[in-house]
Amino acid sequence: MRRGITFSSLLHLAILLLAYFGVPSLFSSEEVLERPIPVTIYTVREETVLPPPQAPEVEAEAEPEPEPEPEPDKEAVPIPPAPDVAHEAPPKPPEPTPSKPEPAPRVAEAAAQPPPPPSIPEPSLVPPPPPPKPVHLAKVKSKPEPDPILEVKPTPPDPLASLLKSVMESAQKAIKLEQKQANAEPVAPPPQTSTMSRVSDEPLSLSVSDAIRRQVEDNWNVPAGAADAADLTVEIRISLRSDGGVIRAVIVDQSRLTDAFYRTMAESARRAVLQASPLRDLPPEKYEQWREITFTFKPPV
Amino acid sequence: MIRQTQGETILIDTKFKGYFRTLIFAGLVLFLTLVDVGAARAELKIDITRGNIEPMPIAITRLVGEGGAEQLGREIAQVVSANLERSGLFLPIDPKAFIQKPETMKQRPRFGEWRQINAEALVNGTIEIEPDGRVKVTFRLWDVFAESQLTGFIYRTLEESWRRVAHKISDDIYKRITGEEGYFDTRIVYVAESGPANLRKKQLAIMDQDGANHRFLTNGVDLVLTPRFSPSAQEITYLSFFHDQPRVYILNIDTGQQEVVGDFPSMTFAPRFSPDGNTIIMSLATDGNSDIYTMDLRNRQITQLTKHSAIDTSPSYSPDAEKVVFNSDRGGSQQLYVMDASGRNVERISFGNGRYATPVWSPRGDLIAFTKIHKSQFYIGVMDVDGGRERLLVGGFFVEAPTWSPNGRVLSYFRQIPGSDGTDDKTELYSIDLTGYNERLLVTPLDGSDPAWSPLIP
Repeated sequence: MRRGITFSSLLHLAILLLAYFGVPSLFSSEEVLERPIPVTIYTVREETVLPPPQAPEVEAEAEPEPEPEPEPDKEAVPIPPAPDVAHEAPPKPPEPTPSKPEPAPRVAEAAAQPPPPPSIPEPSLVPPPPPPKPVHLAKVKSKPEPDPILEVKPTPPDPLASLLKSVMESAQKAIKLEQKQANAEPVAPPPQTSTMSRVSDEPLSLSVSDAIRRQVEDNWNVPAGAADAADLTVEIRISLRSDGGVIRAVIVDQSRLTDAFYRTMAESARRAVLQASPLRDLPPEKYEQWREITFTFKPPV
Repeated sequence: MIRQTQGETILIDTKFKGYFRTLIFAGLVLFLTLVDVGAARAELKIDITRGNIEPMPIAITRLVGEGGAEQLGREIAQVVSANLERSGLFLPIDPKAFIQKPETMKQRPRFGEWRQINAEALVNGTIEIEPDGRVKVTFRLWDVFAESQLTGFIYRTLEESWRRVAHKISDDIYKRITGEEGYFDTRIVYVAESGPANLRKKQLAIMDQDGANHRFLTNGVDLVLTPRFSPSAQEITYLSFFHDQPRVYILNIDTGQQEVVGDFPSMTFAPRFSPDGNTIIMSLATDGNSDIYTMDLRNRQITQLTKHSAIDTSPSYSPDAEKVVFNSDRGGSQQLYVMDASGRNVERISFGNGRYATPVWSPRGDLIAFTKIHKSQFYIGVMDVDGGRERLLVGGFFVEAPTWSPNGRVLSYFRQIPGSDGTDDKTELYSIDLTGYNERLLVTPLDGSDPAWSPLIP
């Protein structure tokens, strides 16, 4: 009996201790990463090497490379709406009208199929076609405000041209394009896993992250005069190829994209990273340490 | 007893050790797993705290069209390009540098070719003349690096309104890229001046924000001053000397109809519309003393807001119509004061050196622009609505009368340049960005003073 109690209390104590010491050490390891110097902690594990779960897309995309006449299908190349890639607030499930048949065709559609011309009801984009009210005024055809999601589809001839399309698609497209380029590039880096062989446990030196920082800062054109710029801190997470090319650049906090100022700031930040691509002066043997980077853009005050 | 107990304890210990070992092992495994996960998810973090503030390189291609539409498409692109360039926030790329021809962009642009010429944004579109004679313009704005469309609109309009379409497209682009409302689809009314200094002819004139579509609203027989737009941009209130009696008038831009605001025995001046357009706020002078009054345009009811032996003038409403800023010399020198719209709670807000005049509340509500006179130099500046953080944007021999662009980003004002012999002074209209950069001359056919920027045209 007593034994049981002792045992039980010891057990509890042990669990408590474990919880107490175990958890904080976890956090601290996270925290340390803020600074480049103590990066020592992140010894490279196999997990890191796993390719981001989005590789499959690439193939789907790589296919339609030959872009002959059938432009529209290029446009259709669309891409499953992966939430994380979208740069326009994806959480908005708006565009009820235009949600059309578009969404259905996913990757499968990517290949090539006749452009769905009929599926583009102009009215959706263009509310009151024959606006009777303007005397001599120009008439805005589309709803003015939700324009972020408003994507006029570039179709050949006429009107039907316009249709709404989630911007996420384009975002992904961009990424895929990058990936496509990556694949196509003659300098194709060795398959990711093989980098394992020359992984170095040495921490990244301060100069490396400084070099990265400088390259991005050189390319960042800060939106001037945005109201309350100081609050507009933006995080951009990027994935890099081993040659320093940016595979993808994601605005981390998608929920704030509805704020026009935040969006402006976020897009300028993403542009800076994309423009800095490929990043130079990165030690290849430490690829695992810089293949994923999170930038925090803080507008200079 | 004791030994026994000890023996027991030892027994427990050994037994427990087994458990404990297992426990430690389990804990260790758990711990390592967690650490491991942490390490696996570790990524490099870098703060970016510096950048450049430069105009964004943008490629604006002509709108593709056939026949007569082609020329129009070219001109619209030029107007858009000029608008964005003048804002100081964009750097339109010379079309000669374009690699991809606009005709080949009916579908997706070849972004690589636009990156090659360093374009960060790209504008393309089409134009056609429809059977009913109206013009249909489609345009799209692209992010060249993200390879995505940022916005796109279709406009239909009468052919003669093509400039408004160009301005609206400019506003769309400006808004999408900067996050702020545009100000290109606006007009400026001002006092056009001509003739010698002692016999100066002053008439009202109006033009698009870029100087196009210029026309005179009055013939110059009667002197006019301080024109201000109504919120609908359809009316102007101003001061005119009719039979040498200064009075506040309202002019309808489209009909040309004029009327006196109220029938006062004495002079009225410095008028401005309230944000809802239903009230005129102005100064009324009696026996050499002027106070601030409002007149409700619906029922002609007059309300006196200030009652002070000092000169109170130049009232301007806050955009929410809760407050009024004005200037007064009640404290000894001319300074800025803010009061409730009812006239209560008057508080002085300017405390810098010199005198302050012509306060104007920003349409964004966050700033007050003013003219400052210090050591015989004139300045245009802005301050917070509580008087803090005064910043002077431009200075000179004589600069005066700031007016806000509707988005609160740009100020227009006029500058007097003294002539060599003191008789041929020139007055010119200028605009400047809130940052104090990008001062631009607004070209007018005659000399210009007292500009007033319209709201966005509905």
